[in-house]
Amino acid sequence: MQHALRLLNLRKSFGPVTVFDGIDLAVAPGEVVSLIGASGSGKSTMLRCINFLEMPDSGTVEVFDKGLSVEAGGMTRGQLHQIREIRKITGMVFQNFNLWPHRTALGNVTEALIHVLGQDAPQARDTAMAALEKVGMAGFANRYPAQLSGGQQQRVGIARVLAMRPRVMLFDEATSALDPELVGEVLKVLRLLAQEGNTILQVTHEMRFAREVSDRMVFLSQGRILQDAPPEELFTNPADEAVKRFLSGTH
Amino acid sequence: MTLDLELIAMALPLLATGALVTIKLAAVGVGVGLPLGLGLALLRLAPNRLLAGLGDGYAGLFRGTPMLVQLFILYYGLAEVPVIRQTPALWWFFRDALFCAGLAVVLNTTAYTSEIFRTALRAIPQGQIEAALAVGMRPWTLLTRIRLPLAFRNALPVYASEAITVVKETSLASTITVLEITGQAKRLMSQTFGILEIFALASLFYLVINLACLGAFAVLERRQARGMRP
Repeated sequence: MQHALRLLNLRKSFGPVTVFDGIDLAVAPGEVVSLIGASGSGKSTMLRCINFLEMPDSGTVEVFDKGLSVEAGGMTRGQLHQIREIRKITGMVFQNFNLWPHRTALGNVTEALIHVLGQDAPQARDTAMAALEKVGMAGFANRYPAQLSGGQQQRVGIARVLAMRPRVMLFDEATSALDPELVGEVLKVLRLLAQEGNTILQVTHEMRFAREVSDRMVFLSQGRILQDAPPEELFTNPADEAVKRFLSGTH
Repeated sequence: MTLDLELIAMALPLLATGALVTIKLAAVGVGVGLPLGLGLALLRLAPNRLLAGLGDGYAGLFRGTPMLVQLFILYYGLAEVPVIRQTPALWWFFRDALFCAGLAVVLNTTAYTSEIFRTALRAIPQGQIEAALAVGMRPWTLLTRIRLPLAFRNALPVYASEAITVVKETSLASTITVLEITGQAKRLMSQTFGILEIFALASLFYLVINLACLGAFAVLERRQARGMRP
């Protein structure tokens, strides 16, 4: 079986603090996998190691046919190139949206189409409008981020990722920064993406949503995978006391 | 005391000639100092400590010494250095008071401008940089498409102050014989003794230049800030 995403023996520490020490994880094409666990368990760091926003200390990241092994020490030119190649086929949605405030919603989406993928302006515009349409933001294409609500900004953030046609999508707590009444509109879009057969790895605290859309849920604690199972199994048969405590605490 | 119209009629054209020199010096200061200052800001933020340290050193040197003293060193001091007198290209430059004044203005504003942009670049939220990296932008694209446009917006109001400071600092050039506004005013003063009228007129010239300058920046700022606030 070809993997969409594979992490091999990934290690990361911040100074003396070990975040994780030898993580292995594989995601198949079309699979939706949710990383869950208490804050500080290393979920977000792990996600950010996949597109090298955090540099793993060592280990291998493979996204389809693009792979990169990291050893201790600096980056070579070739490795930096490979990192950009991996970033181009992964799309990350951030907790804080991170839209570029000087660009309109449309500009936020066309930016990388033009300046990373090299599309011409009319083509990028069409691609971007289709993506904005999909997240229900086509009517706001010419608004600036400051003129949008959090939920609207996040939907633009998702459109920005969608337009790039990433092969793996990474959602880093995509709804955690939203006011409760705005969570629903974003979950609706994420649910649509999950149902469409996209490969998704997400960090989330929305347990009901994770249970509903995930093929597998991966429970992390102190940088270790304590359980990796389909949602029903994880909920009915938690492998560990820590998993049980976490699940009962969040319900 | 009555307003001496004859004196004013005599002073106006000379001060206007001086204003052209002032504008030239300031334009060189902004036109050359802005890109150099930006470059220096990037150097000071470079991961390489040696490069960053050199940039910091330059900025510290020129921000920490009076421009008047720098002017004297450039114009009077360097003229005593044999190598400079004997190298035709250098001597052609450094014996010219206007060139020395322009150089001093550029060296100074570069240091201050670098400080403004260093702060503005660092004020960009890290998440916006990460979003650009996450889509696979190259460092150069990140710089030209995201970091610089955002830094410009952060820096513009402060840079407007720097630009009018440059205009005012050009008055120091009068101390090394450059006949810009203040230089012309000093000459008129010794010829006519109408000190108050002459310097009031000179102030008016500076004021008009600077208000025009601030006006231009206000327009630019409004245009750049479009949509950035709800």
